[in-house]
Amino acid sequence: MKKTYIICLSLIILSSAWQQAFAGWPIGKYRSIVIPSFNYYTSKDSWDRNGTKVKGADGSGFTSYAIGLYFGYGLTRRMDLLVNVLAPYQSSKLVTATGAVTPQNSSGLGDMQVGVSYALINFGYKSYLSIQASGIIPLYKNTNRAIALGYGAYGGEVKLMYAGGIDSKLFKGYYNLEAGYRRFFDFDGPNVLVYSASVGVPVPGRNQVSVEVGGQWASSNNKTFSQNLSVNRDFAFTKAGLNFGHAFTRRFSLFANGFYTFTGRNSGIGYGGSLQAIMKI
Amino acid sequence: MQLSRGIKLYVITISIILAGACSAFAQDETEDMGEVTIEVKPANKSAIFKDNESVDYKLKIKSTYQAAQDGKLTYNILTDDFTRISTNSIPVHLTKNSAETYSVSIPQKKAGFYRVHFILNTTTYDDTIKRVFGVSPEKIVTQLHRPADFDAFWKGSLDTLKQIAPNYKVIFRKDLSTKAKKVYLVEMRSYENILIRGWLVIPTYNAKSLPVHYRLPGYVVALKPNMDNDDFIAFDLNVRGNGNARDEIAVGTETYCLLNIENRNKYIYRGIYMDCIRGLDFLMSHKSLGIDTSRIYIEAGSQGAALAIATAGLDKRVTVLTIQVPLYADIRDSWHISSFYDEQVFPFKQFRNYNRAHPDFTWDKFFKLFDYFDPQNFAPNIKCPVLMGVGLLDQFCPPRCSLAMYNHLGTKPGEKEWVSVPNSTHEVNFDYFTFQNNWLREKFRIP
Repeated sequence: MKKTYIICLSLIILSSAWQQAFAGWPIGKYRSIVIPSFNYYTSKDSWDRNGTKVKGADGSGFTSYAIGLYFGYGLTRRMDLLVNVLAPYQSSKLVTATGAVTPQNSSGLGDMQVGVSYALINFGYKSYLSIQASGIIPLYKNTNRAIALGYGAYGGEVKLMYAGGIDSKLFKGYYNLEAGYRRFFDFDGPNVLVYSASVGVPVPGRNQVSVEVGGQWASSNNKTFSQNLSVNRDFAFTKAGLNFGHAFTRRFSLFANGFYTFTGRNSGIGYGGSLQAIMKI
Repeated sequence: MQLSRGIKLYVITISIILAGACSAFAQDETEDMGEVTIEVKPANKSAIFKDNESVDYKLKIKSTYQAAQDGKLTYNILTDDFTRISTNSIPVHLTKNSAETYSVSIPQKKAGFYRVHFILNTTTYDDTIKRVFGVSPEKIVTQLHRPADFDAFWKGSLDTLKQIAPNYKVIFRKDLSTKAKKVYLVEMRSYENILIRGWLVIPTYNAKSLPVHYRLPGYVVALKPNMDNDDFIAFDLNVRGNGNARDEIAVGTETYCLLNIENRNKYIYRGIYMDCIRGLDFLMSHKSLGIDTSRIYIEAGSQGAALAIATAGLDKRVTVLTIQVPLYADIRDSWHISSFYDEQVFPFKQFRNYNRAHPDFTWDKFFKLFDYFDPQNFAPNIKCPVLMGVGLLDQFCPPRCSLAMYNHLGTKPGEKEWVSVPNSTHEVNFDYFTFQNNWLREKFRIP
């Protein structure tokens, strides 16, 4: 039976969507930020373990919709509490050896990420070097699910972030650089390196546009490749995204984002987008 | 042929002479172009140390001379009133075109502010770098010289102000307004029925009800409409004799602080302090303009800081205070420290000139009058959050005096903060204002 699942990776890709709207600046003592989001991802083709494109069978495909909720609270001027939860609904269409198309779907709460970020250094309050440590808690069990909602394992992540504003004669805008290490506490891991870089500019009318390149590089003892990408733990992908944001008020903004995974290994070739409402309280 | 050879010889000769001249010139130029630069870095970026730790500096000395530089680095420690405490020196050796870093460690000091003079004497270069550092400044204690009738004097002033009809006028200035901000010229009558004016700027964006950034002027400084504030209604008040409030009092900087100085009832600052209260009255009575009267913060520097302290000390309607380099604070110590300056500076330059011209108005009389106006004496009445910025090299407002006032604030310890800006004189820097902006957002919970 030939399966074309892109599951865990899609959740991984979607779970970082909030970062595009709110990057590595401290939230500020006593203040909160809440970001509900709607996320979409679809994929048909994939890359195999050598990075060679594998065409998906006709009629096959994977689509995920996820509702996300991010909450951040400024514990101190330097330290923020962060909670991020995804509730995905995902469906796939499998093409069996006989050519029959079998639809499958799963939904529920996904992984919850809880952690703190700490601003190590500020450079004249214009840019910040921060560290973030968080734990990943699966809010589901994969038993009896047609499609896994994630690895179903606890994990941890440590990430360095460098964010700041650019205010020169030539360019006014902001940037955010992130690099981190994520480990799922399962026999096969995986160990994941996460990275992203984004640059944004304000656009007249309280708008902003930013571009982002980011991805993950995961390694595991389990090197096997399967068309069912959910069981792959040794993978890599890089995606490029374009974000547009509009501030309706000082406290409320909407961000729309679109991305495409343009290179990878043992992962899906897909595109997606998100809509995020940023509420600063 | 002969002519050609002659020309060649001539050209060669001239070339040799020019080349020699250029070479000699270049050599002289190389010797003259060298310089030594000294970069002084305190171990704590703020140059504020604790009284149980040593005061450490690193000095990076860089020479671009082609000749080696030998000599010594002397460092003198003085109190802030120029009493020498110690002198030490360390040898300095710099090879040609090189840099060396030297460490200086000064033993623990008692709470206070100190001057450190780094004096570099080398083969061909002499220079002196003067810095100030603080030691546990929150432990500085000064005696308050608060007159017994201080509160009664100011209650009487406030009562008199209440008798003056303000006759507010709020005039929309379309010519100054933008799509994002509406600008209003505000007029009102204040103490002694004097006309004062201010600028009110209301953001059109997000403007249902906004906190107020109430700014008070420095010494004879004209405040203009503040168009840079998106999250606050900006109110900039020109007190009597400042900016567009000079209808009745229009004097220069040399005499402004001396007007009626021999009579506490008529001294100009009595009226000025009341002008600030009147500005507050105006804000409180114009809620309909979108003013959130429960969130009024006063921000000011120098003379404005003195006015802000007096206003917050006299009126509980001030929610938050941010001040920089507060003028006149701890006036007695300020007088004492300034008496050791090589050259007199504001404000004691003016006060001393007056004292020389009016010997009957003794310093004792001066202090007896100024005790009613010293911001330090208003400080205990202030209970709201306060942020203060201090330039350590400030001669107008010596840091010791600013901290003396700060330490008398009635604000809870966790609600007041101060920021040291080590290399600034009578000013703070951009970083301070960025921090102030963050601090205000924290206090007002503004995202």
